[in-house]
Amino acid sequence: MAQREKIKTVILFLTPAVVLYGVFFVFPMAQAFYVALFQWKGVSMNKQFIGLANFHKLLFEDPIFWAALGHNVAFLVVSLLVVIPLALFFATALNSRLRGAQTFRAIYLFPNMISVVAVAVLWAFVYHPNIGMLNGIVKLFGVEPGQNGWLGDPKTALPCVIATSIWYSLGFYIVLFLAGVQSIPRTFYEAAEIDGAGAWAQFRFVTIPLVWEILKLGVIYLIIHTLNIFGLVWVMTAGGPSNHTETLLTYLYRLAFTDSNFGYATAVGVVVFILIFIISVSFIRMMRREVVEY
Amino acid sequence: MGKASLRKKSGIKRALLYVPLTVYAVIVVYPMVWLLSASLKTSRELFVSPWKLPEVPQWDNFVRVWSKIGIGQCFANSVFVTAISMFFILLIGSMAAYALARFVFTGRDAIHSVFMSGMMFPVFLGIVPLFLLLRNLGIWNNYYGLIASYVAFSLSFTIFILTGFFKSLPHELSEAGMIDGCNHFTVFWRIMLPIAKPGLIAAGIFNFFGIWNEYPLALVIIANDKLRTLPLGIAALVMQQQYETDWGALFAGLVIVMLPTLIVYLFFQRQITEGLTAGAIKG
Repeated sequence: MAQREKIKTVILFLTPAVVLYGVFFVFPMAQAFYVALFQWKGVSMNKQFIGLANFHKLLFEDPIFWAALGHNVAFLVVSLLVVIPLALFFATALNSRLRGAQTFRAIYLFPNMISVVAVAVLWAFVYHPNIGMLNGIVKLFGVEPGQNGWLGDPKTALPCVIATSIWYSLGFYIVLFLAGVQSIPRTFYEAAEIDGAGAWAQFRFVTIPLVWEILKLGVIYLIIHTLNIFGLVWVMTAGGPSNHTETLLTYLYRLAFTDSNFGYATAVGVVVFILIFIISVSFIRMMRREVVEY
Repeated sequence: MGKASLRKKSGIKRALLYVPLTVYAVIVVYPMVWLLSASLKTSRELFVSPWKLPEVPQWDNFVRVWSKIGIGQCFANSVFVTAISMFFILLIGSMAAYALARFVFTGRDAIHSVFMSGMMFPVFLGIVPLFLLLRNLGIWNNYYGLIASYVAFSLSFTIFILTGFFKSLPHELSEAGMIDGCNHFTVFWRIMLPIAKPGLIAAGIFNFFGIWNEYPLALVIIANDKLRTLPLGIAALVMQQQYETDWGALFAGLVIVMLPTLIVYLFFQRQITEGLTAGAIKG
């Protein structure tokens, strides 16, 4: 009796979630791996099985795909080099019992709470050719800015979008690392100081090894975020000028919803998924070896 | 070196930390202050004196963008979609999390791991199949399709947070309820949910930001102008203003999108930072 009652309850409680999640999440995700094997264009529901031909075309005959991948890699590499060290620095600084640390933390995290669309529009105006803030700053130093604006120039567009994405996400990583830094007992630093360790030595030999796991997590987040970047780029430049800021997902979106090239677009999605997996696993491997045992 | 001078030295070093901290705070805050000032200027002022404060605050920018340009409609749409989605996410998510956390049954671990693995899949992997599915079901380009997708895409994370909460509650609680003659549902509704309130709030906050700010799914699912949520409305407004150049109104629109997130952020700041890091450290 109690057993049957229990099973009834479990079924009742789980069914809505399982059905919704199964139909609108698991099913489309799983179907992607199947749709990617078809030549499937346009409004007609005619689809033709072509095996791995989409992937072959993508990898060997599609320069836009490689350009887009290159831009995602640029996002990733610049973020790794800029975001991780800066976030660690700011987290350490905020942990050193400064007055106002809470306020700084609150300010830093705020951009991450705004809609990426709003961030994109705001920064598009920072870079605007006529009323842009950046032009004003550059003119102060006597440099005459280009006519098309920073986002219209193929040379500056990508760095500008990457800078915006760093502005948007840095606070998240500061807060993440701050939690790690805060969990290190003060006595460790005091002991190191008595041993004559300066600020840098303390950072290098106490902080870094003890936040290593969270650092790893931050790197994984960064990989996922930078390979999935879409909204910021789409609103700021839509991948332009002439594909110079194209990323994998803006390309996927265009293939699917402008060209109605459903099979090929989905193949891009599968590649992004596999790339995230491969890059994450290799970073986890790489960082595993360097863990310092205490 | 004496202890006092050592402390003094580290005191100076700490004071020096304020330089980079303040510089970055200015980099974060300045564009938003500029935006606030720009939202109260005329288009002419924006061109002639982009750096100065508005001569006369143009509150009319807000009125124009709200009613004439239709951001008010988008705002109402966003409130509606966010509220309904959050209600269903929290209800359905907490029920599932409760079953997964408090009952032992065959297949529990399998179901749990399918939910958890959802956090690893990028939205765009399934976007084309989802689009086709919604179209076949006749719920593309309306709120049924959008809300169903929001609920489905938010369940993994919500169940992740809430299972943790339900697991931490003592077993005696539900047993006491059962002895008092409550059935499982009453125990859940009357005893467990009220105690799990901090968990519900945490999940609610993160889902609020996730849905209020959501862009790619809305972009794919909503095509009708009248159904646009705020992020869609703002993105469309930018395209339109490239020709009409009513910049003041555009900036007022941006302020309108950001204001609710700012308010929620100020109210729940502690929970947000804690939730962000608690999830990270446990995971």
